[in-house]
Amino acid sequence: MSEASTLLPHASSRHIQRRGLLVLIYAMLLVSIIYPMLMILYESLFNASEGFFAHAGSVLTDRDVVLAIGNTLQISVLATLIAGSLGVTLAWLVARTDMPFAKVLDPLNMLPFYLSSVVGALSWQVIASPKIGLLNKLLEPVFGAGPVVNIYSITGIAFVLGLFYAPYIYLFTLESLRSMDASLEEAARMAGSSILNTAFKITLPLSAPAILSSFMLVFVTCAGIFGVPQVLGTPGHITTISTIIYRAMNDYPADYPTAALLSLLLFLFTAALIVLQIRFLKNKSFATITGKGYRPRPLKLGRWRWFGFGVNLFYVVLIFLPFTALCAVSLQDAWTGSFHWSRLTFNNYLAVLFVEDAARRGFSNSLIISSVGATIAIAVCFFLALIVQKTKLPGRKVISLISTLPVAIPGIVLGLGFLVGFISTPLYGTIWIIMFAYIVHYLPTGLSNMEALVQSVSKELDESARMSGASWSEAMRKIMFPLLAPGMISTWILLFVTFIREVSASVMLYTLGTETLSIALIRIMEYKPYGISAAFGVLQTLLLMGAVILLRLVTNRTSSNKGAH
Amino acid sequence: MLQKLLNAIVLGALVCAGPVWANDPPPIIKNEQNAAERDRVLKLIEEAKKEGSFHWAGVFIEPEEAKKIQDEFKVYYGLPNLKMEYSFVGSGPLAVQVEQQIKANKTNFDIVWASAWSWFKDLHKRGELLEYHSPYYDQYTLSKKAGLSLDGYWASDARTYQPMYNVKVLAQKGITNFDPKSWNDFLDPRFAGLVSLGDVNQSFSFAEMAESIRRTNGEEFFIKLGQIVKPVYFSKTAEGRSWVGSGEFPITLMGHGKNTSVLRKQNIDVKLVFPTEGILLMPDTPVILKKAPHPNVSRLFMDFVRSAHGVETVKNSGAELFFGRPGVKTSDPELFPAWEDVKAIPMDWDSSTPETIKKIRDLMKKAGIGKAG
Repeated sequence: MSEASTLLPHASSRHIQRRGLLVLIYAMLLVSIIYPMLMILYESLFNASEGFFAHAGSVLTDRDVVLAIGNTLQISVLATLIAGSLGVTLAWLVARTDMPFAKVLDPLNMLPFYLSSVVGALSWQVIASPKIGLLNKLLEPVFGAGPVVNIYSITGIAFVLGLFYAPYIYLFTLESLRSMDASLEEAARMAGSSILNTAFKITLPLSAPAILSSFMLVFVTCAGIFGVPQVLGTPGHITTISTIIYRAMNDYPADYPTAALLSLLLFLFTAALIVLQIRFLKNKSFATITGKGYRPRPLKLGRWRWFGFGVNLFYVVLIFLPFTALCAVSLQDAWTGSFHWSRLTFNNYLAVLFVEDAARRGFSNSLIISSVGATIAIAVCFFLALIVQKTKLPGRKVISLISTLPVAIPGIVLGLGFLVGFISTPLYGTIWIIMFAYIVHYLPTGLSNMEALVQSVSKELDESARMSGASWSEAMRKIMFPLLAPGMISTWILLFVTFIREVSASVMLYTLGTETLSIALIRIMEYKPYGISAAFGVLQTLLLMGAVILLRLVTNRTSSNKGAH
Repeated sequence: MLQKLLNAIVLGALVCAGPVWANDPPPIIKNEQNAAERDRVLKLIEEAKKEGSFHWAGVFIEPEEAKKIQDEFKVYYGLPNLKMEYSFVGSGPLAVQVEQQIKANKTNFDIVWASAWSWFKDLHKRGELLEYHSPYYDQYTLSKKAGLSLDGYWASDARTYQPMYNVKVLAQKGITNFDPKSWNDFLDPRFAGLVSLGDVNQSFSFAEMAESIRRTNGEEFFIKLGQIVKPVYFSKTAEGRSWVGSGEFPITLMGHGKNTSVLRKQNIDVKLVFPTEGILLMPDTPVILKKAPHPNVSRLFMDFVRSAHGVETVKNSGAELFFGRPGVKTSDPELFPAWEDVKAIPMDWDSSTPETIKKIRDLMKKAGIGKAG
């Protein structure tokens, strides 16, 4: 019995079904991924009144655009370096050394991955805004008037992005370091190499492919990110490509051709980097695991182990401290740069829950979009993973390739594509277009998780069920789903959290009435930069933390079940 | 005597219409003396009940103020179950959203309320506004006299943008002898990095305000402002207000009486300036969109906010304006002097076009205001 026949229910009509299935999948992918990008291309090529070349010439030589491109590059490079140094150092400390409390710090290091970087930016505004930031106020008696730190700067934006994207590099590096053959390090140490020398000359070079790949991913993400540059860049006059795309669409009259042209530029840039990353990974192997049995042993840091602990703790403090400051601001009736007991109030929370329509809508819209969207995304990704991994349908590799494309499309670009492409459909002006865009944008994430899950189920299990007389649906229900359920739930929660904090695509697609949580927060910050925004940020963070705790519970239960079996 | 008799007849008629008003008739019906008008309103109320909801957007009225206005509207018209949504947004993004919806043929706003004369005139010209002759428009005589009404479409209030500053924060920075009289008094090197103003790219009203200063003080004002003071942009005046309050940017060139009043209620010492060159009285106008999904609630709401009771409600909500209806007693004559007592910068609103707005945006860009760093 072929693999394809184990998947498809009626063997007699298999041929017709195969064709129908392929047409359906290709149509789905064309409409959701290729068509929006073609609409952007069309908009930039044919809709500029002065013609494409004249328009492109004037846009690309505009001083603001040139500055924005320069800023984007600077921010992306700096943020990647910050995230890289943090991520690699923390991963090395946790995976390869005897740093105390590594098991406690490991999940804490991942926390920013699940939190909203927009809330992070808001929190850092409270700490390090040039005139009333708590840190600047604190340091004023020592250094005199004038800001010591300025979060409204290129460095400030890169710093916040670096903190929030460090977990991406941390995760990649950690996995690589954990699977490394420790004997190489031991040999170096026995030959008299110092700990740092061993780390730089043996450990990190062995993990270089994983580290560089994650660097590239962070760089690409930062180049297209919208939320943090918008929140911190506006007061400091710092623009990036994504913020000028947003501005082109938000100033009246909206400038579609310019937004489309800049989106195209941004897409080509990120796509080129992704292609580079793929090519780079193709030529490298993760040869950190040798064929012989090994057991990674941690390096002994001696008296430096507490220093390592201090470094890691400092990172955790950099995440939690601003959030604490945000909580303080949320309890003040007016923020004047310092906390006053006389200004203590809970009214900001009441306003978020009962007065601010945008906030209320943000909560309900985001919960609907994220829960329904994550469910649909899981179903779609599972279906595609089955096709790619468990069938021999012709063209399944192309399906996989097209499904991976959105990884190279920045959210704001995809959002613009959806807006231009679907404005004349009933989807426009609903929360469903936002949900649709999220599913497409995170299709690569969902699909890679689902492919890994589907791959993990041996085909013999499925085949023996079918040979014992079980129908296709019975085999799926009784064999596949029970085995895949925990992994599917984890992926569902991961997508739910990602959808809750998404901002880049939504900013192009929301209408007043369909705001998501992050959009509502950005909108409220425009007229309530402190107090109510802080309360809103705190509530959003609590929601995300709840989801993270749930995720931990599910994954822990899954691990313990696996252990028991 | 005749009046009392009429009232008795009205009340009798209302009692007979028992099924319509199971309990008490709403105040608007109780207070209305004219039978024809009462019938008209009753019909609108019945249609409004069927429509069930209403979505309005504005650039000046803040969410907590909108809540108070909505609550009173529902009570006054006996529509307790009406679902009302409000969106507070800058006029630029509002225009973009409305235009997108018109393009998509899917309007979800009923009423938009903004200082956006040129855009509203353009919407009117394109037939995108709902014609409605509210009986209260005629009572908006100040608006009509100032040329800020368009028969069958709108009657305006007015608002201003004026300098506003945090006295205590400036004193902490050693600036104590500060009593500005003119716009030019803000061209002071001591204020470098302390001043904010509205983003002319995101709002018609900020752009029109900047245009009025250009008229009185010349282009030089902005060139010097960019060179000497290097102000930052905010998206909404409420953001500038928070900055003034917190001391982050303790001076704004585009504050107004309402924001001064809000900060003073928070025990923050702020001053509002009435420059000798004058200030701009900008029309602040609610309009009903042609394809409003709830046209009858929109008509009732328009009646409400143009009526004496509605204007009092708007004023008491905190969203105090220079009302186009005469006889509204100001809550604070220092912050809100009578319309006729304000030295207004003359402005021909019909000459305000997208081109003039583009010119002022270009000037600000040339002056380096809000430039990318």
